[in-house]
Amino acid sequence: MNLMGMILGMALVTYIPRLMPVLILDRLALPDWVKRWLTNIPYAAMGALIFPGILTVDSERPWIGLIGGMVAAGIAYFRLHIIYGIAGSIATVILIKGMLNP
Amino acid sequence: MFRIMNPSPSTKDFLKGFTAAIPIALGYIPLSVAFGIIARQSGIPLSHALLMSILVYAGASQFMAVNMVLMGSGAMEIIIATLVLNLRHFVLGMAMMNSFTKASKLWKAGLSFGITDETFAVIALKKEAELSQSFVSGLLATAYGTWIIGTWIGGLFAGMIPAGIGQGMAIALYAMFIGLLVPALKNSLRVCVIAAVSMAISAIWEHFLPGKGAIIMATILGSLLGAIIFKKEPNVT
Repeated sequence: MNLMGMILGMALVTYIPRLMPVLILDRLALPDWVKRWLTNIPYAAMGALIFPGILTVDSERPWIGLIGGMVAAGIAYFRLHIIYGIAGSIATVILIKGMLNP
Repeated sequence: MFRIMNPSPSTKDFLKGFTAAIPIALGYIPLSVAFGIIARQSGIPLSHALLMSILVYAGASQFMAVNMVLMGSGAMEIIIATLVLNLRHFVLGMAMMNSFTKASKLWKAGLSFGITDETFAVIALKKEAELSQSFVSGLLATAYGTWIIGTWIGGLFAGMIPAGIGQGMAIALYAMFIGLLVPALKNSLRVCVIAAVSMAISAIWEHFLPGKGAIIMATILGSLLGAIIFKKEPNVT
C-alpha cells in the first residue's frame, strides 16, 4: 500500500475542513440563533469529548476513569490551577492501578 | 467571541501563549509518544510516522489510520475515514473564525491548521482581551511542536516505555477538558445543560453507532439545543 499517498491524502482531507471557515465565513451574515449555536459549541464539544471517552481510560474498569475525572472536577471546582487537576487525576489513576495490581 | 487585539507581534504575548499551551502539551506528550511507539511497532517507518504528525496533526485519526493499516485497509478507505473523523474541525473552525475579523486571511489560513479539539477548547474559553495574534500563535506553535517532538521521541524509543506510567497518563487529556469545562459550569445553567445533553447524546450515539461520529453529532446537537432553549443569554463576546 502506498503509505506516502495515504499520508498526503489524510493531510489534505484534514486541512480542508479546517480551512473552509476561513474562506467562506466572510460571505455569511449570521442570524442570531446561529451565533448562539456557535457560541455553545465549545461546551458541547467538551462534554462530548469527556464522556463517554473517560470510561475508556481503563477498558476493563471504567470506574477508574470516572474516579480520575471526579478528582479533576473537584480540583477544578475549588479553583486550583488546571495543572493540579491533571497531576491529581494522573496520580489517582496510577495509585488505584497500583493498589489493584501489586 | 474572540476579537484579535494588538495585531503587531509581541514576544511577551507569544510567551503567554506558550504558557497557556502547557496543559495541552502535557496532554499531548503521552498521546504523541504513544502514537510514535504504536506506529513504529506497526511497521511504519519513523519518517512516515513523523510526517503524519507534521502534515495531518490530528491525533484521533492518526491512531485510527495506524489501526486500519494493521487491519490491511487500503489507502483510499483510510483517507475517507480520516475525512469523516476530522469533519468536526470544520464546526470548531466556524465557531472560532466567527470573530477573528481583523486578522489577515493568510494568518487565519495558518491558524486554521492548528485547530484541534484541545487548542480550540483553550482558545474558546479565553477572554477576548488575552487573544492577540502573538498569543494565539504562541499557543498553537507550542501545541504543534510538542505533538511532533512527542511523536519523534516515541518513535525513537519504541521498545522502552514502562507500561505503568503510560496507563496512568491516559487520563491526562480528559483531566484537561474537565479543568476547562468545570469553571464554565459554575456560573451558567446554560453551559450545564449543554454539556449534559452533549454527554448524553455522545454516550447514546456511541453505544448504538460506535465509531460513527458520536462526538460531532453530540457537539452539533447539544449546542443547537442550547441555542434553541436559551434565547435570552447575552452573547458571549
